[in-house]
Amino acid sequence: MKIKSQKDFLSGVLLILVGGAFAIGATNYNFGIAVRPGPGYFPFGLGIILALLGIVVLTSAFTSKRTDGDPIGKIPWRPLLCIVGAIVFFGLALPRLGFVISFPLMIIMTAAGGSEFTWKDAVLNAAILTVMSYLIFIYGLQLTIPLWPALS
Amino acid sequence: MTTSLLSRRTFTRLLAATAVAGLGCFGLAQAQTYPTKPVTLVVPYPAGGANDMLGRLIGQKLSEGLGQQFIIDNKPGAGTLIGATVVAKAPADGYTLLVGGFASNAVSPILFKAEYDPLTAFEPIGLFGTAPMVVITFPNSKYKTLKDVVEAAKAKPGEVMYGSSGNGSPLHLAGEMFTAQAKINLTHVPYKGGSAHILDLIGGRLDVIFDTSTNSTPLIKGGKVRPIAVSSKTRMADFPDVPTFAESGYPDFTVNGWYALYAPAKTPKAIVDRLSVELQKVLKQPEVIEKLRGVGVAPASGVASELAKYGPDEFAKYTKLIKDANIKAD
Amino acid sequence: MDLLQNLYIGFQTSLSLINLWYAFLGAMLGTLIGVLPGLGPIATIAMLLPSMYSLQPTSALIMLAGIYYGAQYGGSTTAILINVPGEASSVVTALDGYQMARHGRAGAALATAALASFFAGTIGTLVVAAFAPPLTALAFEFGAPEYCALMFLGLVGAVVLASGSLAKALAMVVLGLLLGQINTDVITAVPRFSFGIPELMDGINFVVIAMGVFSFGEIIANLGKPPEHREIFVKKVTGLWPSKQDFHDAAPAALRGTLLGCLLGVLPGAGPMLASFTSYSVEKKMSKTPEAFGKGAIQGVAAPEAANNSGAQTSFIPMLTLGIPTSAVMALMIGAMTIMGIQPGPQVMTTNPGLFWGLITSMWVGNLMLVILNLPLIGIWVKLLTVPYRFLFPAIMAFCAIGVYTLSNNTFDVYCAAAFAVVGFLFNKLGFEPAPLILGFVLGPMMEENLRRALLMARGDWSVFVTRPISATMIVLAVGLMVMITLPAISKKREEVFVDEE
Repeated sequence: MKIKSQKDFLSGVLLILVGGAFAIGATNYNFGIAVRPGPGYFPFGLGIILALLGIVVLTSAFTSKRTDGDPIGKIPWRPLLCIVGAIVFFGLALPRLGFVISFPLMIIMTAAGGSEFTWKDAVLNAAILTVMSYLIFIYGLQLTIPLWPALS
Repeated sequence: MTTSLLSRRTFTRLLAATAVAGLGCFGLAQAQTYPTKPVTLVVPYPAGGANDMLGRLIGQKLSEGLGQQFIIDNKPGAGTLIGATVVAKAPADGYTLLVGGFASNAVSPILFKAEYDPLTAFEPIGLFGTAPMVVITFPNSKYKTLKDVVEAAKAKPGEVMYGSSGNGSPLHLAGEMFTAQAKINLTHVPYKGGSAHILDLIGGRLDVIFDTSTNSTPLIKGGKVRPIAVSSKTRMADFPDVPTFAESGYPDFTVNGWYALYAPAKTPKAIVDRLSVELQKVLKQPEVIEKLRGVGVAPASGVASELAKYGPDEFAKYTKLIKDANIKAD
Repeated sequence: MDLLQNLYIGFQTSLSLINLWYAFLGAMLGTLIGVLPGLGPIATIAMLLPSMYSLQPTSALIMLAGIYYGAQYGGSTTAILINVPGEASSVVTALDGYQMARHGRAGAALATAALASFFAGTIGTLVVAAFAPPLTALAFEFGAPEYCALMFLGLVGAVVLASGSLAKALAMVVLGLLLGQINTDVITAVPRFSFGIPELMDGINFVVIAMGVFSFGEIIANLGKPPEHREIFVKKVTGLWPSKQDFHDAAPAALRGTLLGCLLGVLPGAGPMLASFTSYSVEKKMSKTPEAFGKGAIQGVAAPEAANNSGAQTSFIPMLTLGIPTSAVMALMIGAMTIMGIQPGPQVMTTNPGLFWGLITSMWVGNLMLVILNLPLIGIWVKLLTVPYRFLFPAIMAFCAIGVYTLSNNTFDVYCAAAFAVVGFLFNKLGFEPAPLILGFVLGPMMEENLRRALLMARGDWSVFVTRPISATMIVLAVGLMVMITLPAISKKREEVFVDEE
């Protein structure tokens, strides 16, 4: 058997794994009975259905009429890591360093994910966005956001 | 005339925000003259609910009295555990306080796994309000008194249904306490907050709801639901014709919502005292009393020693009730 | 005629200079917070409330209503321009609106959204004024079995939202349902799939998932393409105004959307959101060119926007006739009324007709304000898209990050958004369409809750779903729809659909 669609192959495998994980997890909860389903009833059933759909998708990876192999393509590591890293960094830094420091840093990290990254543009962008966000969110809408590094 | 009605400061802020966001022009940040250190008041509910409203009211009055800004920080989630945990772990310097009560300091730590011990993690500042429960039914229901409900339940155990806004809500625990005391079997139908349970009651699909007066007062006044008993010690001023639980034969029924101010444990006594004294003053202001009553909350004293006894009593009471009624969340 | 008399009383109140001013202020502020991703009207209203107590009750309520509509409209703007849906109902608008924007038709999309909303708002206001009591009765007919059947119908309809493989669309719905299972079980209070993390006890926030799978995933995928192939937005913007053909296509869709919205909006909880999803599915099924949907069909913007807005109007009905809030915004309005010394409920109509009819007519005034405010803004919004992408995407990310944090002032949501950015990227790579997932995620928990409550109240009798007429009708419709969807797929023997990469 030849994989004719890489995308469907990987999709199928992932769906089976996720569905299976939910179904197994659901066994921790009470199933109840058909007249009175418990908290485990729905997630178990849905997990199984998802895994079955995964099998359907997986099968289609072999029966597809595609000839190009429907490749997944290259993974753009740089934007992926920069964007996800920037969000995680923001989460970690905001309560500790405060908005004024963590926000512009996050923007520069995000911008580094683009292939046209230059320090000048990124710093300029970060400065403008930080001032704007400060005026909108903190001065204007008075949202409760930590501003400065926590001293203790 | 126009701008003076909305506070001018708010208005400028809104205008500034709109100008910046909408048109993308950047004005210079006007230096804010914040007090050196504002106090954070953690409300463990999302913005907009009764708790949030009470927290904002108390915070605003405290800041007027103490000359410091009180910032409301809504940290909702996990049946108030998230917000309460934040305060329990905050530095004990009086700058982070909890708008606590029924859920955060009594019921939620019993039902769910909490990272704090409600009896030792906080320094009580003062109880500021209680909300009695009102038993309501739909207008043309056959239940006129609690006795009718009990008789119907005894005739057909499990057939009488009461709704609640969720497991562990005051509405649920009031129902459980009543079934235990009346030795009857009612079916509990939980809902996920909101107002669907009220619609089902008005639609006649539920028989009764043990509701907080905060929620039910407007509905009763609008004639959409009919009250059959109140849990306050004496009849409520708003509904002089509605008997209390004690008058109906259940003197031990004591479930009510309550709202209190807490500081993290080990907060210096001077700070706690200062806050408590100020809270007591706030609770004597006619405006505050009127606003609390307006939403069905009976103002309390704000005395710290009173809360120091009230909180643990409530915790013990619900620990026993939840164990006896076999309510579990595991 | 009573209706005219009442509307006259109402307009006397709502068209007073001061109330017009507050309607404008509310609509403006609402648009602002609606445009900012992740920010909703609730936090803003809660912040404003203390300063509103000094206002006349009528003015305060008119301003609150203005914020509510403004926020909704602002949400559509962001969905169309940068593919960031702030609430469940704007997910549908994003499907075709964003595609229109990419093809240089952002102006037409925004104008269509504004005009469809205004049209729907006008009809919705009339419906509220004329038919509030019978529609209230409709809301009472809906018990747990009816809600459950309605959700089921909605879920089947969700499959129509996708245009690619049927199995993958179904998988997305089911995955959405499963993500919705991460919560505290309503019936038994058991936390499910929370791994001891207290934040997960309330489930994942909708906004986090929508931002992750729609916006972040798309940004990562865009950046992965070499710049010369990127062309995210067509450089040449063709006209700010919808063409004659556009009007011709959009008007009937907007009308159908309006009607659906008026009906479904009355149902508390899911009404307006279901209305916008359903109207999209209806348009796609009725269209002679269903393949155009998802690629910038103007009906795909007009119908859900109209449905959403008329639903937003009629969702006020339970509050006006019963004093029961059906959403957090309304709970705030009721709170404001009580504190100002007005007992909300049906008696307001007689004790304070100026306020009651003033509020109803100000809904229309608010909608008018939104059109007046937003049509001129379209030019500015469209200009925004000409900002080079290297400046635009960090800005989108930055505003989203703040929005996510302020959802509950908790960094947990920020980490979740990071995780869903990866998920969204995977969907993009593997050819999954996220819209059905969102609908599954939102409707799933409600459907389960109502199903189990229906069984609890019927003492385990499953026949309750088919013995009640409304519920039975909806189940028949759902089964019929399911057959309609699967038949062509089977008869074509899974003919390979080459979904061309844009």
